[in-house]
Amino acid sequence: MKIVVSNNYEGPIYEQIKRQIIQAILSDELAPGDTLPSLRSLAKELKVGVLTVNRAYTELENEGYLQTVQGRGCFVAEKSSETIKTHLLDEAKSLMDQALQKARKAGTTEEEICTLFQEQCRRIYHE
Amino acid sequence: MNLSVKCMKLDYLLLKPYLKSMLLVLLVPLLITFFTGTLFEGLSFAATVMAMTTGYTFSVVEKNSMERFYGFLPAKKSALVAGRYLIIFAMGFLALLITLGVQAFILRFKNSALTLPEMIGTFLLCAILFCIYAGVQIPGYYRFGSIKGKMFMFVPTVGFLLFYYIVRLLMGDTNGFNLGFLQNSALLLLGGVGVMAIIIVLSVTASIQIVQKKSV
Amino acid sequence: MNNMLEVTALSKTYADFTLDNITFSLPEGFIMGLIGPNGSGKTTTIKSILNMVEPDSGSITVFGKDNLAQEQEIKRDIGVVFDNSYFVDEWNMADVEKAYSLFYTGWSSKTYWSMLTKFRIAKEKRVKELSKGMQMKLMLACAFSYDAKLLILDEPTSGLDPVSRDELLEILSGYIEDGRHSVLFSTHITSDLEKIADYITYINLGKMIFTGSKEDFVEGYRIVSGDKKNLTPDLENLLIGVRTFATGYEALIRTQDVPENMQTDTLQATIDDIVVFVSRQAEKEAMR
Repeated sequence: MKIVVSNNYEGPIYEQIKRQIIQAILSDELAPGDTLPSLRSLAKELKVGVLTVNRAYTELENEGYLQTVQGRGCFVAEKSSETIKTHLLDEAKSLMDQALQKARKAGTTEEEICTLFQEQCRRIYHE
Repeated sequence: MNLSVKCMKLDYLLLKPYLKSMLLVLLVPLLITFFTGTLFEGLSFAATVMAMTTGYTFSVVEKNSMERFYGFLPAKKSALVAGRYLIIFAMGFLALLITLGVQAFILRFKNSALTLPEMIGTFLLCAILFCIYAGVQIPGYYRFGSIKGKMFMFVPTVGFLLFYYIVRLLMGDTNGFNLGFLQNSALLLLGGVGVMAIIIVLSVTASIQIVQKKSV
Repeated sequence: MNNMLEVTALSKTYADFTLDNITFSLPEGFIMGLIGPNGSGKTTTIKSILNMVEPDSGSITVFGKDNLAQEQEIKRDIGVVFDNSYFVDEWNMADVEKAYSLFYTGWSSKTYWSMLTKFRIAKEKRVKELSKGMQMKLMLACAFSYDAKLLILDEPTSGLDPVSRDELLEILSGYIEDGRHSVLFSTHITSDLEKIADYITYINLGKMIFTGSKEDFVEGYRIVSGDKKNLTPDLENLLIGVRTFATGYEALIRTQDVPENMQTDTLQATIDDIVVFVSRQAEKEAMR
C-alpha cells in the first residue's frame, strides 16, 4: 500500500492519510484482515506526527473501516468494504438529489428525467 | 574517575591546539638564564609567561561558544571550576619544574654553582608568584569573560614589574639578589606551601561564587 | 502516559523582557515544538530546563525528577543541539568523542562512528571544516551515542538548507519511533513543525499563548476574510491581528468564535498564519 502526504495544501495531513487508506481498501489493495503499519512506523515513514497518524486511525476505526486489537495492531475491518459501499451509496444518493433538484429548476418532467437517467446509465455501465 | 579530573581533562582538550606555541614561549626564560646566569630571573619570567596563558581556556570557550556545552554536561558547576584550576595550576607548576631542571643544567654548563636550597627556595618563590598571578586572573575571567576581562591578562606583567621594583627598592640590585635567606628550613617551605594554599582557596571560592550566580 | 518533561509556572524577569508563567508538559515518545518569534523566551525556557539560567520562580521536572536537585542525573540522559556548534573549531572527530566520553558513562564508541558514517562525516575532518548541517548532525550523533532519552534542540534549523532540514526531520521521526524518546524543538521556522510535531507550545513576548496537540492548535483557529463593509465592530472584537486593505480585510479568528453565517468564508490556518496574526495583535495591543 502506498501512502504519501503532501505539504502543498491538500487538506489536513490526517485527512490525506484517511483518504488514501480508504482508497486502498476500495481498490482491494488492502483486504479485510490485513494489518496496517503501526502508528509509529507509519509516522516515521511519512515524517509526520504520531498523533496525526493516531487521529487518522482513530477516525477510520470510529467510521468502521479499521479495527484495533490491543497489542496486535490495527487491521482492516471485516466489513470495511461494505462500510465504504454504504458510504458511497449515501453519497451517490445525495448527489442524485442535487441533480434532480437542478433538473426540476430547469423545468424537466419526471419522464424526461427518467429517460435521461437511463441514457446516462447506458453510457457509464455499457461503454 | 573523579568529576573534577574529568573536567580537567576536558580543559586539556581545549588547550591541545595551543600546546606547541606555549612550549615555544617557554624557551625565552631559558635564554634569559643563559645570558644572565641567574636562576631567579629566568624562573620568575617563566612563572609570568605561564600565568599569561591562564586566559587561554577561557578564550577558547568564549570563541567557540562552549558555555553551552559546559552548561548541559552532567557535571556540577563547582567541578567545572575545580577542573579549570587543576589544569591551569598543573600546567603552571609542571612548566616551572621543567624550566627549573633545564636551567639548572644550563647553569652547570656555564659552571655556575647552584645549591639545592637555592633551587628549592627559588622554585617556591616563583610558584607563589604564579599562584598570585593566576589566582587573581581566574575569577576575573569568570566574572567578565575573556574578551571583556582581557585587562586581567596584564596582571602577570604588572605583577612581574612590581615585584622587581619592590626587590630593587629593598635590595638595591636584582643581579645580586641573593636567595641565601631562603635557606632550606622546613618552616619556610611549609610557610610557602601555606601561602599558596590560601591564595588558591580564596581564588577558587570567589570563582565558584561567581559561576553559581551567572547565567550563560 | 509518562511525562518526560514538565515545566510549571516558570517565570524570569530581565531588564527588558519577562518570561511569564510558562507551563507545559511533554509526554514520553513525542515531539513538541516550542514556537514563537525571535526574542519570545524560547531559549530562556530551554536554558532554564538545563539550569543554565536561574528562573525567578516555577519548577521543572525531567524524567519525573527535579532539574536542580538531581541535575547531574538528569543531564546524563539529555541530548542538546544548538543552532551552531559548541565544540572547539580545531577538534577532529576523535577529540569530540574524547570530550563526550569523559562525562557520559553509557557512551558507545561503536554507535558514534557508525552514526558519523551514516551522516557521511569523515573521521579526519575538523569541526571548522564541517558545514552547518554537518555540525548539527555531529551534535545529534553525540546525543545518540549515549542514548539520550530527551533531545532538546534550540533553533536547530536556522541557517540550514532545505535538504538538511528535511534530513533532520527524518532523523527525529526515527528517534522517537520506539516510543521511549522525546524531542523538544524550538524554532521560528514553523513549517518544519507543520508535519512532524505532535505538540505545540507557543510563546509570544514571554507570554504563553497555547500548549497542546498540534491538531488542536491549528484547528483552534481559522483565517477569515471578507469585504470591508461587513467588518462590524462586533466582528472586529473577535478578530485577531486584523489587516485591512483597499478591497477588504483578513484576520485570524478562534474557531469557536466564527459567526454562524460566516462558516463557509473561513480557511484553515497554518502554524505560520497563527504566529503572524497573533504577533500582529500583540503589537497592536502594546501600542495602545
